[in-house]
Amino acid sequence: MTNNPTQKERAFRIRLDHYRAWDAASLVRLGLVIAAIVGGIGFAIWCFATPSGTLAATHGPISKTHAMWESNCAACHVAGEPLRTGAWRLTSTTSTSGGRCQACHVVADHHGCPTDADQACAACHQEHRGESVDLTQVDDSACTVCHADLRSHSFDLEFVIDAGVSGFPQPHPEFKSVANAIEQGDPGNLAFSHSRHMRLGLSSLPDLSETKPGDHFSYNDMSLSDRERYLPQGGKLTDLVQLECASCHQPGSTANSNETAATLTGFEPIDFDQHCGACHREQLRVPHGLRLDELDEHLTFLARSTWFESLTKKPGILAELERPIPGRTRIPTGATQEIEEKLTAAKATIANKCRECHVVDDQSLAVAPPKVPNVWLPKAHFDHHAHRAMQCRECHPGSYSKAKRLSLAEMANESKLVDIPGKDNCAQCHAPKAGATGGARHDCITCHRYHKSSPSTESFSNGSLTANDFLEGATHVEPAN
Amino acid sequence: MLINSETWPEHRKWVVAVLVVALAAIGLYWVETMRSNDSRWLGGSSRPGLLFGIVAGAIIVFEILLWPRKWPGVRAWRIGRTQTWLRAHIWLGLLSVPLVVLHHGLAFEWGGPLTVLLMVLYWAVIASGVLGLYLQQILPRHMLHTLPAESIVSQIPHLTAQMVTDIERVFRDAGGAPADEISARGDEASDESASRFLVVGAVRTVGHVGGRVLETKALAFEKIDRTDLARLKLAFGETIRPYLLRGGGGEKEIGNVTAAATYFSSLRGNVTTSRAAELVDSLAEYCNIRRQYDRQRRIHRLLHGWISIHLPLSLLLFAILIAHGVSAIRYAGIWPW
Repeated sequence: MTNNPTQKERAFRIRLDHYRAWDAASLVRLGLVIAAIVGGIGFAIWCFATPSGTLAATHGPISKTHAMWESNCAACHVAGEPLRTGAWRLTSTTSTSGGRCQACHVVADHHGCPTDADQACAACHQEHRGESVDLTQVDDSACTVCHADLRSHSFDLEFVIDAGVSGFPQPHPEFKSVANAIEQGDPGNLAFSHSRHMRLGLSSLPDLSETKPGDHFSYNDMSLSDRERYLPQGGKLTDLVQLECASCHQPGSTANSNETAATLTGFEPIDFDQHCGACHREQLRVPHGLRLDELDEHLTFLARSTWFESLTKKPGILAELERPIPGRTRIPTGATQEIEEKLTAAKATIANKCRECHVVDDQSLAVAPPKVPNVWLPKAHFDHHAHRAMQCRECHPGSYSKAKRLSLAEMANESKLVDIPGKDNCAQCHAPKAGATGGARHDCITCHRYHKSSPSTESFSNGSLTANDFLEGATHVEPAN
Repeated sequence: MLINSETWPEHRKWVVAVLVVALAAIGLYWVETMRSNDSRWLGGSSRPGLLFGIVAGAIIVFEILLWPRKWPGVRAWRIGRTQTWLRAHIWLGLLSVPLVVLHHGLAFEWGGPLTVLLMVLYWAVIASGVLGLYLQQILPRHMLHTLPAESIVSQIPHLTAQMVTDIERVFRDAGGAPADEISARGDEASDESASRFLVVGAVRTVGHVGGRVLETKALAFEKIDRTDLARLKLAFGETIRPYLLRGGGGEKEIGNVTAAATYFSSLRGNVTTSRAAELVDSLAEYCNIRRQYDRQRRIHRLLHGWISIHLPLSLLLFAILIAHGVSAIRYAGIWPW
């Protein structure tokens, strides 16, 4: 017997069913395929059947502001309703997800003209961008989408003045109040020279050697309480008064969100009694701030008192008064005219005194109410606190004393100037970096706020949530009956 | 799937279509981004982003369908030509790249764990697929040119065992097998040529048909000197036979071309007859074939191993894609429920 293969055997050198056999590579591949299928299905089930798995679907870490709801999607999301306005939906139903934000953040409409965007918080405040993201730092594009071409939007065209603002400093227009002040003058109805008040001794003359006795003001000329306030440490009472910006412009609290002068500018508004009274109170023969009728009454009282005082110097004058009525005095005919003359003279004197600072009507002698804006940039938010490192002179150079001697007329003219810097002054820092200038923030929200303050932030009310409710993302709990 | 000058006309249609769709998608995306009020590039929840996401998802689903199409039961349905399926698989898969990139908003922030995993898997699948396509372009051609003895990888142990059997038979014949034993085999024994041939693989071209045919090498039915035969049997038993059966790398005595040339040259010098020297040459040729088998096995791992990565990753991607779709619908709200 030989082992030689036959032709038939040779024809089957390769097994015809070799492809049916499972080699090691095929088995490994099969194992990997099964593992992938099982793993994929398991992962999908984990994603949707477990609370921890649901978090895997997050778009990214949420900010620290909302960190308590990191693991509670339903605190903000309503299933099937996008938070972003840009999201495409197959339905036209209005999303109520935005309402979840406003359960805590109640804000007023933008410029009083409600838009859809007002109700879609996530259009500007986008979450899931990391823990350290500040949601209030909104990109310019959120503003310029409308403000770059306001006329193309369905707003009231009369309202639209600056139709195209796409950035700062260009093409942002000049600040409106500053532009108006340059064009029309100081709207304040008040004659006030900052430069004189910043001069040593508040002298009307720039050179002390030219002064005349009594022209300068020293701390001795102030009341005791005012001296404590104005006298610098180590100063003497005989020293001439040197005011500083802070003598009158006192920092205000920005702790609350009410839109007051203090919160919007960082300074309390100027008040006569607090900031002018130390020097000017004694110069006034009548109280400051009286209305015209109150002034009439006050002066009439003074004139009659003066007349009665003069009676005591005329013997027998009392006999001229017939049947005096208790509580009332019969004034002789001649005396009335005398009183009226004195009253008129006093009014004229007082009016002249008022004119030193106020605009007084020549006929009625009525004082025009001061209209110095507490906030010069009402459409923006300028915070003096943020600029506290700067010298005041950098932005308000006109408020400092001049080396040049000013005439009274020049001083009067100076008082009409508005020393509020325009946008070019701001743009020294708040502009794109260019050489040695610029580089400070110059985006829209640096100065402007989209939302006006809301009633809910102006006062605290008794909410309806417990701590557990809040942490679980409940937005409102109906009070128990 | 080979992409060369001959197959290019078929591929060109797909390439043009893919480029047109990709450019249109980029244009649409750019226009929509410019029209939007968002300073960032539009993301997956925007109108174009969602559209691209849906299309890319549909493409991925189609790509996955290539796998069940190869199942024996499904393959019998003959849904489309295999070539068409493969071309669509390649070019639509590549089309999904710009769509996916536009879907996630040209950003490298891929979101949370789910979407990050999805993107990592996607790029891994694309990378493994492109690698596989590249390997398929170069390795078969390389094998055709450098491995004339190429055979079916799974059958290599079977083939090498047959080689050993053939050689052992030659040794028996060369040692003087009785003629009556050969003639006593009836019909099969009448095929005398059976004992006189060794089968060696080689590339041959017949007319216009290029490919691999069997080269048969005739061995004279003559006895070999006993001393030579003893030396050859010893060399076969100690070195050649183990190598033929198990193969191995260059560390073996005849594992590489240089060492084998030295070894067989020495062996040839130790035999005295031309018949024995001829047998040595045949043994050297067998070892050369074995070396090609080893090399083929290594190349085969590359040529087909990528699919062991590509396929499981694709299936995992498919499952995560479904999870992503559901979560997107749930939180982005493109569908009311």
